[in-house]
Amino acid sequence: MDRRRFLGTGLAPLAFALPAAAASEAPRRVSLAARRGMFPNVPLIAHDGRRVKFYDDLIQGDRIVLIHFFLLRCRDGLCPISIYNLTKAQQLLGDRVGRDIFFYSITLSPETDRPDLMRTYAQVFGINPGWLLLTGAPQDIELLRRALGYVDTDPERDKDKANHINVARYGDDALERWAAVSTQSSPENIATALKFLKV
Amino acid sequence: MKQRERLLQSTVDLHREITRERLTRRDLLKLGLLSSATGLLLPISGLSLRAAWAKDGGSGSSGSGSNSGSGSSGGTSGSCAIPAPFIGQSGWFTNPMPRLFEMTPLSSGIAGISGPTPGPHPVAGTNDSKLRCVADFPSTSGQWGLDKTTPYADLAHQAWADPNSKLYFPPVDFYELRAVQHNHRWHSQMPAGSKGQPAWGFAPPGFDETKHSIVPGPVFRTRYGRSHFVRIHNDLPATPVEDQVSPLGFGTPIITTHMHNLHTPAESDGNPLFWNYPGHFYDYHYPNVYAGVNQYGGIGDPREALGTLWYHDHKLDFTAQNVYAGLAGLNCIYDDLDAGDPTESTGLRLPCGDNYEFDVPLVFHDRAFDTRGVDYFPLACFDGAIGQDYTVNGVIRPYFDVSRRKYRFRLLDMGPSRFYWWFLQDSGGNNIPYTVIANDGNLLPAPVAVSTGVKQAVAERWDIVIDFSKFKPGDKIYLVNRAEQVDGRGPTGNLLRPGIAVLQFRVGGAPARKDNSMIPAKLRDLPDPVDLATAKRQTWTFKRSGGAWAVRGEPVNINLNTNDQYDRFATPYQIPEGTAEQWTIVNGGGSWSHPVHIHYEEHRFLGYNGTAPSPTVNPTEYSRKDVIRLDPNAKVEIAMRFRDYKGIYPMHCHNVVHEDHAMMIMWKIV
Repeated sequence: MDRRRFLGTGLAPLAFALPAAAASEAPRRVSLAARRGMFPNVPLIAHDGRRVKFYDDLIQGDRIVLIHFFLLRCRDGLCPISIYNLTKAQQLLGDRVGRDIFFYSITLSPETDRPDLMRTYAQVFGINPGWLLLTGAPQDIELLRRALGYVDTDPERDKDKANHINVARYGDDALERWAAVSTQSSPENIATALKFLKV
Repeated sequence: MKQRERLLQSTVDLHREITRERLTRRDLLKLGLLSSATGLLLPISGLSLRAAWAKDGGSGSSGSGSNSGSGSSGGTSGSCAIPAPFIGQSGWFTNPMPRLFEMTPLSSGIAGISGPTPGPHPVAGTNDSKLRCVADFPSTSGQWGLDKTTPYADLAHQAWADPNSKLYFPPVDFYELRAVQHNHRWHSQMPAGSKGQPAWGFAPPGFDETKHSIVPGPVFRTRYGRSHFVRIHNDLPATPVEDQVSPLGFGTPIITTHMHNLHTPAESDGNPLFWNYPGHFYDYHYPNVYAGVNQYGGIGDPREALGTLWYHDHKLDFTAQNVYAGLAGLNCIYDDLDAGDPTESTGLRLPCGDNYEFDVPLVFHDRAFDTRGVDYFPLACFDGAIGQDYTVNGVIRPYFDVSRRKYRFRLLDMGPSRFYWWFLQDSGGNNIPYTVIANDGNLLPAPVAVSTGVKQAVAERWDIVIDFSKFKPGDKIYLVNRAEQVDGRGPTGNLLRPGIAVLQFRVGGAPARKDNSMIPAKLRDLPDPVDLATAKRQTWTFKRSGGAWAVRGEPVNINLNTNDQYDRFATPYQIPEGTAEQWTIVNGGGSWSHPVHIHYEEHRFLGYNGTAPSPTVNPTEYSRKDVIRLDPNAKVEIAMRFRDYKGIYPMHCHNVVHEDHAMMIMWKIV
């Protein structure tokens, strides 16, 4: 892979697509959901190598975000269906993804899903700017997983990462508005849910 | 469908190959599986990438890919953690149970409605942002133009538009409600004190938050044969209001109000897709007829009467949060049999009294408060939402003063996810029998005395009669929940010992007026059984699929049209008007309970795990129903008719957290 070409097609729009917290003068409101611990502000690494803080950089403020968990190596074959549906949803949403809609796919296997593998994956699957594949320290990922509720109440089932939940949370932090949509439903269903979140 | 499945499968295969074989983008380009122009994946059906890769000389490990990871090193207490009750024992039974606000029709009738005068048809071509009726969808983008693409005839009130129709029942009574944010007092000992904390609810005209509770909403007392109309203004804040206390932190101000389970034309049913926006209103028209108008003429089959209904928010993906916010209320409907007669001398002579003094709704709703006493909704819990502060009519564990006479109580489980098992007990914990007269608002053929309680799932209603004349003045009698439930999945099935007393009845003196009411030996006949020989059969399996809910194995794609907009008028499952079907409702497994609700008509159980209820077997279930308490691994056979009005209705899990996670399908009467 030509690195310059990769930078040209991937990283630069991504940098543009990430709203910079520092650029805003006014202190931004921390939502109730965040204050209740739904969005631990853990450091993460995106598939382009960029380092971000989960809440500060990815969630906070007035934007629609979609968050889900996945694995690069997905034993039950459900992750690729989710990713496929999201890639199509991204196309349906057009240039809104990266402008006021953002997708975040967080790995459940940070030990194996390194940023460089994620970068290849992102290229292969046509993951466009505005959508980040994210990994981080295992304990931070675990914190996120629990805070966002991707937990099976049966501890034995919960240990098996293949038993993950193919539902994405979507919402808008500034509006205090959060819902969920199945990533196994259709791309149209996912895109429409996002489009109709706000008035 | 086939095409899409193939596409998906090839993507799956490709993905497996990529992740196992460590293919690079260049490899994929070489293999012709990527378009270099767009970088987008071009799945090719039938090509095995593995084979191609092997041919190319590659090799790689094909490990299982799973990694046990770091285990449960998370530092949070878990998003489904259930907080301890905020109000402890010292606060129990210290607050009086509020009576619901009694709704009355506007004295000036249709002229009393704010905004454009209601009519059978929506106004065409208006530029007023407050559009009306079912055309109330923004068209600002030019794409959301339901009101531009749908013929106005489809948007008309079915029971109001055509005077020549058998189904024409124009409104007689007019009402108005406003969905608002107000402060609500859950208990006098909450730290927010007299001010309370924000909640959403339905405010009637003249609502005063210092005098009235906003949760639950007012109770309507309506009558079969007397059509009514409700305009609900959406005055909810469009963005969270940072007032002195706090915004709710959950819910959406985009709302739709379902009347559970009136025989209502689809456009007034409060379908999850028929929402409206802050600053708008929506007009609901309830013809108040029994099912079977086309079949029997007049106002239908009186054996199809309901009695206890409730209205609540039903917004797609947000029902649990919005009902939890407080958007729910009661509607009792009467007729010549269930007369609502203050003198208790006509019809069945069920307890009523002046101003319905002895006909009392009890709305049960469990809530979660944080350690500071601020209520919250567990947004990050997929299982369901339960709390341990039990409220009745909006107040935590209240008391209720009663006279020594008979009372009719209408028990409603407002959810979002708790199941109850109701016992009546004295102060010593001894069980006292009580009389069940209606299941899901439907009067039983005959009253049933129960001593082992009734189980209640979300949205189920039980009408019971308690005769307090058998107690002494000063006695304290308790309504006790004995269903053990430790998470949102459903009850464990265990009987709590002791139970949780939720409501205390304080027995007072003799009633001011002699108790003239009765519990007659016969209540309401059941309708003729469905002819199963001609009924179409369907099986619907409710289960978890990849952590998401699914009906029949299909995650729900809510009615989308070809422009990827919600289509509020189409669904693949169509049912001809005037027919009946036999449905098998199956719980697909796991330790989950699902209260399955089917809109529009009541159904009958043909068998619950193979057993048909009868006057001697499960007599309280020998009834018409609109919620199926689908226990783990249960299989329920029902028969249901689809008569009179047309349009789109849902069937969904009424553990509303499950519903919001796609446990819902739509069907349409055509």
